[in-house]
Amino acid sequence: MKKRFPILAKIGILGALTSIIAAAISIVVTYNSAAKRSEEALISRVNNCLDSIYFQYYTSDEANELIVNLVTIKEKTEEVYEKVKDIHQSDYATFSEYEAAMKSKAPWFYPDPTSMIGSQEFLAFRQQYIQLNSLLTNAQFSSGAVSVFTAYFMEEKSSYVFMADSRYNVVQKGEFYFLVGSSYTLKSTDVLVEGDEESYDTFSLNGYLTRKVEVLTNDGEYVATFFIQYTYDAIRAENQRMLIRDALILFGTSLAIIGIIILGSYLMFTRNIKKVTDAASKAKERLSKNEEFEAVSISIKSNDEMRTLGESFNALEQQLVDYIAIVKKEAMEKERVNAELGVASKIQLDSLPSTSYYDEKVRVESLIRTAKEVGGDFYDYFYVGKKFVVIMSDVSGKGIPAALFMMKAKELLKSNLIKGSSLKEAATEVNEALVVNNKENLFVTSFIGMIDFEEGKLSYVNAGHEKPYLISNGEVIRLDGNSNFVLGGVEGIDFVEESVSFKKGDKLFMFTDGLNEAINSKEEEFTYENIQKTLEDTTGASLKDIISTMTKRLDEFVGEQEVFDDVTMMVVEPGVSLHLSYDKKDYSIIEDAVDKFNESFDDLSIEVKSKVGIILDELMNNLISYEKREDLVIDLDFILLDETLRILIRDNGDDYDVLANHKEKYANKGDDLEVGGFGIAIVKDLAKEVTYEYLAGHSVMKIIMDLK
Amino acid sequence: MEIKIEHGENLVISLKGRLDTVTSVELGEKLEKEEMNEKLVIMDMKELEYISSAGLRLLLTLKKKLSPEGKELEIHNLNPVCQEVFRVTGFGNILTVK
Repeated sequence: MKKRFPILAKIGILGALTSIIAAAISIVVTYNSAAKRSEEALISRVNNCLDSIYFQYYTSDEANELIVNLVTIKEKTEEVYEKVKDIHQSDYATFSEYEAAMKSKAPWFYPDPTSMIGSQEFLAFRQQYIQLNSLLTNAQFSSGAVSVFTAYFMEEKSSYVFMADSRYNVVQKGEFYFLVGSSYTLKSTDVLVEGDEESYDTFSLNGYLTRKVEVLTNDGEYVATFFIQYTYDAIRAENQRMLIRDALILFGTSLAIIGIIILGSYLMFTRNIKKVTDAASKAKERLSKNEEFEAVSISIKSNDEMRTLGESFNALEQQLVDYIAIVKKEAMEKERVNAELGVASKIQLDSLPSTSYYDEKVRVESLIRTAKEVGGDFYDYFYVGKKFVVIMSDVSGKGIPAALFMMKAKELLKSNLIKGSSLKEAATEVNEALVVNNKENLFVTSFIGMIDFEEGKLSYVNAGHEKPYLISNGEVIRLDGNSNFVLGGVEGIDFVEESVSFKKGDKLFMFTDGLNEAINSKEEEFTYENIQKTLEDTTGASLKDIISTMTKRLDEFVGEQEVFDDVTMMVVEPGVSLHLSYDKKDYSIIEDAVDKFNESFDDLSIEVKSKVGIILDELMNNLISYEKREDLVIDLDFILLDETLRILIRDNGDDYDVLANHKEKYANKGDDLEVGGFGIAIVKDLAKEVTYEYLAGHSVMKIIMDLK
Repeated sequence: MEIKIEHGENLVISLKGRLDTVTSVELGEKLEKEEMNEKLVIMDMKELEYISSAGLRLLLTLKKKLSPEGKELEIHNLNPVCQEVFRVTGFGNILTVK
């Protein structure tokens, strides 16, 4: 069996392919929404950063301290801003000039960087500033930002005023001071993220991706704004990382879904499918092994198509079981019917007389070939007194109905003729009997002939049958008499009986239309011409040879073509035989016997007749000469059989085997011969075969003469 | 059976029909009465149908009668069946067949 690919695997592969495609689509979509992704990444970072900021102020007191701090720094920054707001770095050629300008405006704010010592006011402020700066530095460090700075928003100017920056440590570098108090107005080109035009929370500043977060007091009063800046590279890396993470999550989810699908499929479908396939393959196996087949019911609990399939399977299997039982029963029934048909066929054929019949009066050879097991053709022959009846018939139709009708017709014909009806009467009575209750409208064509040996005459009624051929004096003549209507067709037919001369040496060939209408592969019929020619070619042949030649030519003609109709033929001739009986112990009976033989067997050659004369003379002479009893009775029978003449000489004398007891005698020149003793040698020489036996008180000498 | 006897230089006996048990008696009786002065007796069997052992016996008897008198017996014109009878009995050897 070819390896099957489980549905589950197919579902799995399908699921995997779908997931891979989905993942690919997601990645593409994600890449396409990179901007949105940037903001998300930024927000995430900002949150990290804010966490870092608030980490140091995790109690509300500490948060308040931060706000207080910021407020203080904001106030100082406002003071500085007021002093330096008209000084712009771009107005100065060098930073030293700008620094000097700033210092001149707010000397208390910008101490000598080398001494690091200023006024008390500055020191207090400076301490707070360092605290803020350290907070921002820590936040920058822990969040991976480029810088974190603080500014406050000045509503009247719509500008931010710089307060502190993580990058510029107040202790190490003094120059950042010169940035404190400087203002910056956000421009529309700074806005980076689409859809964020309202809040301007995210924007590009000095080439960095920047996010601003406002710090409010508990009362919701604005204090300051934190700016957290990242490089684009960092965001891109973050983006990628998140992309991979998302893809992995997507992939993992897909795998989980596939697993669920497979498991679900197994639980929902495959398990049930397997039940059906198992039951089906089991059934197949049992069927192929020709084992007794029983329906196995499958139970499927899921309320879906699978249950329908299972129920259908159960129903089909039950139907199959029932069907097998029916088929088996029908096969047995058919076998029985066939067997009965065989028996019917045998009964039918057995009801026909032997295909060969020979006695001293008549000789018959016939042949019947049925196209189906039982057919409608039949032949028959029997004695009615001293007359001999021959019948050749063909029932319309084939098979059992034809066979039953045939049996009926055959028995009716025979019983009517045997009780002494003439052919005309018999035909009429059989016709009337067959017409009654003939609902199937079957009929039979029949040639009924009666041979009168003493008158040398054939009387016949032809009820719609094929006209037979009469072979007489080397000529073949169609028996072209009146053709009556068939038997069993309609009532009240006046059948016409006719007669023709039929003597020793004449032959009658009867047949059914299966012979002349036999067709070959070219759909040509065998025809009457072929029958006539075959009979003309075999006028001198024995009856057996006529039938076998006709059959051979028919077979050659038909070839491989299937035979559709029964073929039946029969040839009959008066037997040439003679019976003589003598109870006179006188030599004159020998002359009488020889004369009567010659008269009866006139058509035998002179040579054969002479030989028979010699044999009779020798054997009868012996009996009359040597048998002691006076009431000697000698019976002689002469029968022509095939190519031989058979002579039986029977007497009521003693059991004496003259063949065994005679002395071989042969005359040679110079012999002084006794008279007599040559007879048996002559008989043995002239006959083909001579035998003696003693049977039931009679000595029987059997002599066979070859006629060829 | 017809028997024709002609006297002349030779005695010619012509037979027609069958020479069997009955006719050989008839022929024997006829020949018994016949004077046979000719030196040669010819049995012409041209029209004889057949001869049985009774006929052969007669021929043998005739030969035995003629031989001591220095007379000859010749059998003429045997048909095939008669030839066969002569052959199988050896009579062809002891009788002059022509």
